[in-house]
Amino acid sequence: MTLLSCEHVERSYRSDRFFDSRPPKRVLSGVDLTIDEGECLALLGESGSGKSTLGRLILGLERPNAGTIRFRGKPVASFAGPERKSFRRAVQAVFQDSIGAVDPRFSIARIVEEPLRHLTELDETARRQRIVELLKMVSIDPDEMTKLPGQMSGGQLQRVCIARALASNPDLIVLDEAVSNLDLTLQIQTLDLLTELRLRLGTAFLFITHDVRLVRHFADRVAVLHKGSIVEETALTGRLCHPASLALAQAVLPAMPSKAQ
Amino acid sequence: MNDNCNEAILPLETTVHAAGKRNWTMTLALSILAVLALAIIAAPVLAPFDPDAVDIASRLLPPSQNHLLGTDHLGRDVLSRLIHGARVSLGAVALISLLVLVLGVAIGGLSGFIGGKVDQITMRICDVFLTFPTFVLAMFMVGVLGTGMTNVVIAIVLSHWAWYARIVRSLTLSMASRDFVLAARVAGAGEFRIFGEHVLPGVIAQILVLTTLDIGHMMLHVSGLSFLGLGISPPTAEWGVMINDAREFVWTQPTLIAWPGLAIFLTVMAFNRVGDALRDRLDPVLAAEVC
Amino acid sequence: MAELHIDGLRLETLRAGRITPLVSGIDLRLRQGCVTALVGSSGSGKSLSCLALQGLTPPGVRCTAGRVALIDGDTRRVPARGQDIATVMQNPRSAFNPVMTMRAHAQETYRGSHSHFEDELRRFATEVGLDVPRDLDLYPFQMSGGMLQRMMIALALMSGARFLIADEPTTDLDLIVQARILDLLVEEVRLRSLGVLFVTHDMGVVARVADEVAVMEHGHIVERGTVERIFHAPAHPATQALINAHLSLYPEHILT
Repeated sequence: MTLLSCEHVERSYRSDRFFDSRPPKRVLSGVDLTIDEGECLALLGESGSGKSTLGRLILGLERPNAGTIRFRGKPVASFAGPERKSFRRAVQAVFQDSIGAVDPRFSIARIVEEPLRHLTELDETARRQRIVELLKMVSIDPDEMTKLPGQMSGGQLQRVCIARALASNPDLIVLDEAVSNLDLTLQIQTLDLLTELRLRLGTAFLFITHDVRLVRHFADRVAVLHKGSIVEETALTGRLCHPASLALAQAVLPAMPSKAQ
Repeated sequence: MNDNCNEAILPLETTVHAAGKRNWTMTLALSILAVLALAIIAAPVLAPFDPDAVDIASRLLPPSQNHLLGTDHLGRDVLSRLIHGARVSLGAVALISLLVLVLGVAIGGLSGFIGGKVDQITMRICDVFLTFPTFVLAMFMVGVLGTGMTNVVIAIVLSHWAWYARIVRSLTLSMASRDFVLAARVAGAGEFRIFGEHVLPGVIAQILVLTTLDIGHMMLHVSGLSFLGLGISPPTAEWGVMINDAREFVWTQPTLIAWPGLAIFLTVMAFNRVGDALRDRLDPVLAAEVC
Repeated sequence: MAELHIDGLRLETLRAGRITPLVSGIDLRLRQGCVTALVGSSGSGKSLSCLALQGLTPPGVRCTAGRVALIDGDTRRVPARGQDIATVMQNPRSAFNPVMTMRAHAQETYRGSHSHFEDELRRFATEVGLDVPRDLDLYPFQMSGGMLQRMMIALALMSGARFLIADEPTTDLDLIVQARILDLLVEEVRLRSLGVLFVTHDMGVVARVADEVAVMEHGHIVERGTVERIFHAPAHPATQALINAHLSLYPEHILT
């Protein structure tokens, strides 16, 4: 069952200044994409391809200039009030820079509590219980919940962000280069954690990344974004043929040292 | 290993203990501010004489047991005038700082957060106000409305709010573009809530530091305008007025000009020092960067 | 061929009132024409060691021991920062002054004769793949991360230093840009016989560029060897963990 679909989505930016005669900058042109329930779709592209912009559009943080984004069949742009709230409940995100994605003044508990406060009807006791449950899910000791972000490492904070994303029991989580700032061992650990959670909870993931190696490790299907449009889409069992995809694949670092040096 | 070789032992870097050296200035600053606070609260009790009591027979006396700092050209006790003057000078400064802070945060913060055309228009209005130099604006206001503390306050606020608004706006812009604001939106928080819970606290912490550092600056404006005869007029005791009065007698009784000058100097330095310390402590991000 | 010897480097800091060692006596040997990779997970002390061996330590960190020597034939002396050792850093954007053009940056650190400056600048900028002369007059905000990293390498080469410290220079770049920068570095090492200390957490980068590997954990070097030996027969558990994590991303190698 289709959870989210993008139909001919376009996005351009223009500056807010008066008297600015420059043409608007087109970031996305005619993007078509679908995400089904429970699946993990990787959105692959080099920097500047528009991946983060598409992520923000899917999250409803920005509106496309043309085309429609539908959630469970209904256009996201038409959501208002309670419908908007239920959309937010269903679609959450984990961002690239874990340190920047949390308010440095909030305690860990308050950070994870934020979606519970705004998107659920739970009272304070119920919220507290849920926070403990969520922290345990991401292997963080609940006793650490009074700490401030400055007292935790980047890797731990990213797990806190994952706990926050899971708080409202979403149907879809957008991972916007969510592991790119971690070192390799932590990247793999985090992805393994997400896979385990996916199997347990049935959440769908949109994994935005530029690293082909991680795609093979984590996703079911991959869509390749190049200069603002989807140039290729295939299941992981298939092969990538488009020149942009091949450029990415060739740039992958070798597994073993070669004797050529 | 050859004894003649000049390899480097890598230089030792100091650890966080460097902070210890600055503590005496902080103690001094806090003591000065404590004395000031006392003067403001308990002026009528502390001052040995009535600040407005004229006694021509005892004019221009040097410091003595009776008059600890001497008397001015009208026989009024300098110490008492200094103590009462603290109320006036600092009272005006406090009011100005509060108004400028409120205006700056409200206008600058909302402008930066809302963005778009609203922001553009607000900034152009700010630009207009920024072109007025304080003294010129003050003289204009006094010319139109007359002298007096109220007009001094209005003049200084009008010429400074735009500067604060601009700073608050850029602080807001940098806060609002951080990922945690996006994350708050994704978590379902409304725009006002985001502004109040996430953006404003960070901005206020930083702007408060600026305000503290600026108190000295405001103090100089208030005293300066009074010195020029545009603000408080004699016989009210106020430090700027006292300096103006003492100008004529600088060769006869040089200490007369020194006391209010010293008072202003010490107050400004004390607030600057406290502002420095606030800046070092208030922002958790800044504090976390040290280690 | 010159060598850079680092002996007994020790760093410590004050944490919660107690002296905590960060790096405990590491030794490194860098040879010209050889890339030595310094690997380890975050917190192992790799970046701190790089800063310390150039005489720079962040506030709150103290260097309590260590000797750095440049050995050239029979002479032995202290290496000069910017002349014998050059650095390429992780975040190129924060390494450049936002109000100076690329040319201004090069002028700031150039030590050669004035008349040769423009020619040398153009030569090195072209060699690293920048668009000369257009890119030389750009400000950092007009350039991408990859271009800034190329400029940083050009500045390092212009200094004439024989040794290069590269602290995770490609971590913030996307895959394609990373591959190109690594190719450039390998080429420069070959052309100029540079001695490189390459800090990274990604074993894929090590496989691509390194000749020798030193593995750090909790402030100690726990294993060192040639890159082939480390990959095919890792001995220390920390090394094995790194290699296994790396290989798990390459399904075709799991059976090897």
